[in-house]
Amino acid sequence: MTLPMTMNNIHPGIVMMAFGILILILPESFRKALTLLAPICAGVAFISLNQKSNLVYAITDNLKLDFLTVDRLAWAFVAIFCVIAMINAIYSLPLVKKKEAGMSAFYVGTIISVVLAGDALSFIVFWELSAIASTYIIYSKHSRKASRASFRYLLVHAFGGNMLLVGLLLHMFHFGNELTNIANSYDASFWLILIGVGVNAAIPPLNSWLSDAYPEASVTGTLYLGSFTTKAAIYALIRFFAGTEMLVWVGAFMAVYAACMAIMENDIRRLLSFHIVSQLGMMIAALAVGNKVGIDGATAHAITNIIFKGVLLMGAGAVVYATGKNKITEMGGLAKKMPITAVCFLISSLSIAGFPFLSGFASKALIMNSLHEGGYVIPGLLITAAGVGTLLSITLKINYFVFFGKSENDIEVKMIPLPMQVAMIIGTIMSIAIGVMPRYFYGLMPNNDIINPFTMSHILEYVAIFIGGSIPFFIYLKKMKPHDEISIDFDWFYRKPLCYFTDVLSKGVYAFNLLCDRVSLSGVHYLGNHFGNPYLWTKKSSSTIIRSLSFENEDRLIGTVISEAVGTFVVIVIIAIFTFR
Amino acid sequence: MIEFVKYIGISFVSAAALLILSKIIMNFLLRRDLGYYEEKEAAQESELLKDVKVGTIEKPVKKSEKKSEDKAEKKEAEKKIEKSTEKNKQKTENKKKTSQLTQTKKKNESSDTKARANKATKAKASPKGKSSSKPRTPRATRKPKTNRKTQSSSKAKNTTAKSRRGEK
Repeated sequence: MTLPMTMNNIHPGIVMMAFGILILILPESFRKALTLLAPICAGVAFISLNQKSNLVYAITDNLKLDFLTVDRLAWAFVAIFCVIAMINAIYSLPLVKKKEAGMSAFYVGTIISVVLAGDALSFIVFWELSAIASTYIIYSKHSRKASRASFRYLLVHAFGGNMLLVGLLLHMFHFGNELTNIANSYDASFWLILIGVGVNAAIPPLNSWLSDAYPEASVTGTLYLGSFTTKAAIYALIRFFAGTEMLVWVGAFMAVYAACMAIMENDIRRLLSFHIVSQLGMMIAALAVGNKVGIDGATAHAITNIIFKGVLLMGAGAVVYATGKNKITEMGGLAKKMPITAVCFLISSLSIAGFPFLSGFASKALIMNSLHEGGYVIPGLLITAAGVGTLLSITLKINYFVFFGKSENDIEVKMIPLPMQVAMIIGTIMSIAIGVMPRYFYGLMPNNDIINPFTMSHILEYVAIFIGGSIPFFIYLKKMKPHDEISIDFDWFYRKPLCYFTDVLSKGVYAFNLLCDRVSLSGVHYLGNHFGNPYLWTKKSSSTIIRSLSFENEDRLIGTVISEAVGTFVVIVIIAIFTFR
Repeated sequence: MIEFVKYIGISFVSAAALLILSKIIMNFLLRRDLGYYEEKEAAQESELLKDVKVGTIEKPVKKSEKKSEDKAEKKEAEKKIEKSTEKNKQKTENKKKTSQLTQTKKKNESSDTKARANKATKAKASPKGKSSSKPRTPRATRKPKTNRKTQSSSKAKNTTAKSRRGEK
């Protein structure tokens, strides 16, 4: 008898999930050790992976689940997921409780498993598991807003997951169980998978769950969510849609739109959430070009984004932890009180804006190269404009109004625990290392397409962007200060009109139910009365002849009774003759 | 150098465009109050919680406070029990007194009826002439008839008063 499962390597995703379950089961005293051990063990399992690694479970002879397929694209994503899982684990040590820590480890495991999945079925299984785990991470803050945001998150992701499931089933019907590129096919499975993956990739108008849910999670929850869900979606987009021309424009629009929203925003974590969308737009534009540089650019930017956005979220989390405030208008002059956080945040914000010798510069170079190669001039300009928006809203706005500008209020600041500071420093060092030595970094990309970003024209281009973008900021400095209000996004459609619609619909259905109840009850009463008392048939009839047939009627005409009886008998006989002939 | 200036121009224009787009156009279209999404919910909740008294919710109490509170409660309960027992005693005494009064009343009444019956028999037994031989006193000079019931009750009152004083 042969086992239905074959395995020649340990699956890093399953290792993470197992540790997540262990953290949930074992007492609180094991939490810290297991939280650190989980990414270490997953990392060890990852190092042992090679292109021959497999973990196959045969459901039937024809249907096999391939949980472990390693190629260069999957390898690059799993590598960064293991690294950021380690950094996040260090950061979260003093903050999280047992359940959240366990669920976070489990969530990381599901995302790694999505990336390593070699077939459509295992891909969708882990995709849905990641949605459930991430919902709990948002909910685990246990605030009213968090629970509501997690519910909306779950609804949106349930919609996306179902679309993806149907799309993948169609895909399986046409192309088999393997994950293949379906770019420019424009059939039903294409659109369904695009919607399903587009929800996780926060493509407008499906983007608003991100800026709605991420700021409502706990500090570490936002960090975990910001590092994994959307990046797994970028991986899926590269797998399915690399080379889909339409998405170049979608990505460019997305980058500019989210940058504008970020400029308006006052909540520091919500602002960073909009920037996740903006950066995703750049990645989508690059992968949609479909050339080697584009795919490498999207992958590289996803990886650098995980690092510098991770540090930015850690910095924002540290500010929230230390001050207890989320709004930029309530902060100011924190650089003196939180110098390490301020420096790490500044370096990462310069990195996200593409400052030379930082990681963002290296990855953006690939994106711009791919757009130039593809001949997309206007999308290229839009991506540049989005980069300027990033400069305005993060590098200048947050750094000025939160850390380095004058403070209007005297804010009390709590001491930030050492693990949080260590995690931020590690992330910042990684960002600098990638920026200084991009050749090694490019060598890890799927197509190994190495370019030299340190040309004079390229460096001057970004210096010029920094100068040109900074001038309007300082001219309109008073205008740049955010207002203590909210800006509505595409979530307005399901939080206002859809809400009213469902409200009216539910009331209508309830009223209809009541009507049906009444009508059916009165019908039953009527029938019950009349079947129970056959005299009523004749007694209450409008026809005088039928009324006169009533047995209760003493004045009935016996002649008409006889004639009616004979008449009906004759009719029955005729029908019988015709039917049984 | 031309490219440098070109990129400064591009970034300046794009920054200005983004600022106009976000700070003027989108600000006008998309900016709302803080409680924009929660307005309806808040109104519904306040309506639901209108009749709820927040003061009725018990606060968590420390152990030491609990002990002292328990003691005070015990004392109060004991006092209440004592009061109620005293009241009960008084009630039972009153009941006894009233029952005694009623019994004495009944006795007196029975003695009166007996006396009347004796008188009536005596009157029947005596001859008619005797009664007529006695001169009748005029009505005005007659002594006023006292109500026997009131007499008996006054007697009873006297007896109860005596009994209260401890006299035989």
